[in-house]
Amino acid sequence: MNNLQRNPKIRWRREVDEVCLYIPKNREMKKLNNVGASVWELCDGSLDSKEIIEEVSKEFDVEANEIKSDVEDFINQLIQLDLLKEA
Amino acid sequence: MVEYTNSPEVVSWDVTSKCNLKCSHCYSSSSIENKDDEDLTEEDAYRLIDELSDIGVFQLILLGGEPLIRKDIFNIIDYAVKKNLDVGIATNGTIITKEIAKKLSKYNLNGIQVSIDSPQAHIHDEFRSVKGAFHKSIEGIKTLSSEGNRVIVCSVISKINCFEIENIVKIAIDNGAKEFRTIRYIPSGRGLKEFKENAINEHEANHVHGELLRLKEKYEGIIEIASDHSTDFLENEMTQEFCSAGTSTCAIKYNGNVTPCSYINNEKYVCGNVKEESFFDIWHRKTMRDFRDVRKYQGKCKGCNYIQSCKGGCRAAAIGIHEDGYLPDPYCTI
Ligand code: SF4
Ligand code: SF4
Repeated sequence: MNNLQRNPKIRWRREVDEVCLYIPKNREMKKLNNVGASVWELCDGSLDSKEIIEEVSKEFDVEANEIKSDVEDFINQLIQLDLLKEA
Repeated sequence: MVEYTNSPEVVSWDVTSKCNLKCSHCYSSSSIENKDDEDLTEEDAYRLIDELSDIGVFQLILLGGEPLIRKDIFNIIDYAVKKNLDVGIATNGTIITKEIAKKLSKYNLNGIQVSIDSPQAHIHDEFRSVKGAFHKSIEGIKTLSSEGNRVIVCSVISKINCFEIENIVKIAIDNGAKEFRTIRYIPSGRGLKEFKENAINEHEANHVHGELLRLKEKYEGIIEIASDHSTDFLENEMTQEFCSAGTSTCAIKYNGNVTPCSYINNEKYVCGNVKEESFFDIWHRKTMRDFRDVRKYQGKCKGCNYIQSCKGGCRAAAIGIHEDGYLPDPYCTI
């Protein structure tokens, strides 16, 4: 499985309980909250999706199985939007 | 309290108060007679850009006056782009040459906004107080577009143009613009004087709203059509976020004063000055916090169901008319 990495063209920053993204290509701002924000932060190129799910499950104290498909869907959406890449 | 971001997403900066035109709706009362000795210096500008970049601001919009009058404007743009800010600029378009257009295109700016008030040259010129301004602006749009810049034609919606929007859109398309957007006539700066004569009424606002939806569909794929939320006060629109001043956007005046929005000029709402203190400190200052505090709202806003999204509508318009940011937007028909 490939490690996941944020598209370096996307500008972003952490707010208290969310991550704000700015997509220069279409001048769009997006907000990711809770799990989404953590997933985004974890996509620094050092982890693959299985490892990200494990990290998130520890952080939010839920079974990895319970969140697996949601997190995978979310990651796929971000890849489709060109916000994430498989390194 | 309403939610606000740790630092603004968009900052607009009036880089000068000098302008070669003298538009009757100008929020910053700019003119060629204005002195430029109070403008932020190039060094101030670099310091400011460093900070905005460091605190995670995404967009920097350069306004004026006429930004292209500043001799160091290309140094400023260059620096901001290198600092990863997504830069936009608003110009009246009258002093654009091929060389300027070419230089600007290098920076892949998020947009170069040029205002057109009417499809009729004499009406536009009258509004802008300079004969020939219309034709120069159109030439400017054409030249900018032909060099690959993303031009946004913008119209301040008022009685003079609210039934002529499609003709302005056609001019925008014919001259290569990529986007058309509207801004409401805001009673601020010189715009305050003729507000009553120029402001559209509820019936006209409804027309504009419907027209923009129709044009969006009709010209899809040809030109992007956007409108700012303040064009209307229609009930079904009211759950949308209305005013971003002081919550995700902020403004810096030519002299370094910081206010929640470029259209807000009243001294009472100057929250600090970037020549003397950090922008981040100002953003978190009590005056800025008070400005955001919807619990303090008065008049019909007090207890209004829409207060969290509407936040009293356009604060600049409320301040312009009532000199009080806790009173309702004068356009509110709710
Ligand atoms: S009363 Fe105030 S909060 Fe309510 S819709 Fe009008 S301006 Fe907005
Ligand atoms: S004060 Fe008015 S012009 Fe400024 S951001 Fe709010 S709605 Fe827009």
